[in-house]
Amino acid sequence: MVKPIAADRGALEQKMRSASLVWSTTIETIKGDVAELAKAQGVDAIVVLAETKYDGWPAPGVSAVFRNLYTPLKFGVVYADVAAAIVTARGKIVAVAPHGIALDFQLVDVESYGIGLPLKDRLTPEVSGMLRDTAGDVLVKNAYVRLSQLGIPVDIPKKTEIVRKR
Amino acid sequence: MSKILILAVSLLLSACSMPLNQSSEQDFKSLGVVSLVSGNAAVARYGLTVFNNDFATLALDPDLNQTVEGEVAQASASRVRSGWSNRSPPTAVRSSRR
Repeated sequence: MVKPIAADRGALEQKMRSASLVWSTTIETIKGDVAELAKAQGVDAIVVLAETKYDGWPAPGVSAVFRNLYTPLKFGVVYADVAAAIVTARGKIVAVAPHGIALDFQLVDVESYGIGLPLKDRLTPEVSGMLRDTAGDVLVKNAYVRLSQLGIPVDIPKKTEIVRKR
Repeated sequence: MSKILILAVSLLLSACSMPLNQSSEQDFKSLGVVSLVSGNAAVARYGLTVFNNDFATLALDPDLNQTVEGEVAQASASRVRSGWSNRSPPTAVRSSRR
């Protein structure tokens, strides 16, 4: 039903990031380019999945956040905040699932991986690999969530247990 | 006053999701998917004070966008809406990560 589309992702991302006024989603800013892409690829419409980023927030769409205040840090959270929209070959957005609500995330056991300060020294190949794989899994799950919100039927995978070093 | 209220409600609703409706759905039979996720993830550590904060960047899987597109294509392939074409994705990209 849905086929992957080859696109100049760098150019589309850059155009989205340069948007000065965003109403419901940054995808709005590239709908003309996506419409051209749909025509060139011979599809009637394209589902665009775009990472959502916030000004002044150092952890953008796909991120890992470790936070502790008074107690020792036990868990970190891996996020993958994405928005989605269906853009037709005529350049019309016919469905939108914007940022925020209903997305999945993944808890990571910080103690077992020894994630502390300074971060750059603690992001060992093992920790980086785990975070990379976890971020990928959360992103795929959230892509399913967004598709479902757009009205495209998919089975959303069940939540995974805490990622812990074995 | 009523104009301000209408504007406020419009802005509020602009952040809500809008699923596909039947009339829009009839406009297309084939769908593509494109994923636009940057190559890096932010890693942030927050403590009680700013002196306990730290930030780093993590390079993501370079094939992550293709992985997402392949997964989405496969996930939706078995759940076809009536009237839509069922085009299978060219490759299964996810298998390399698991």
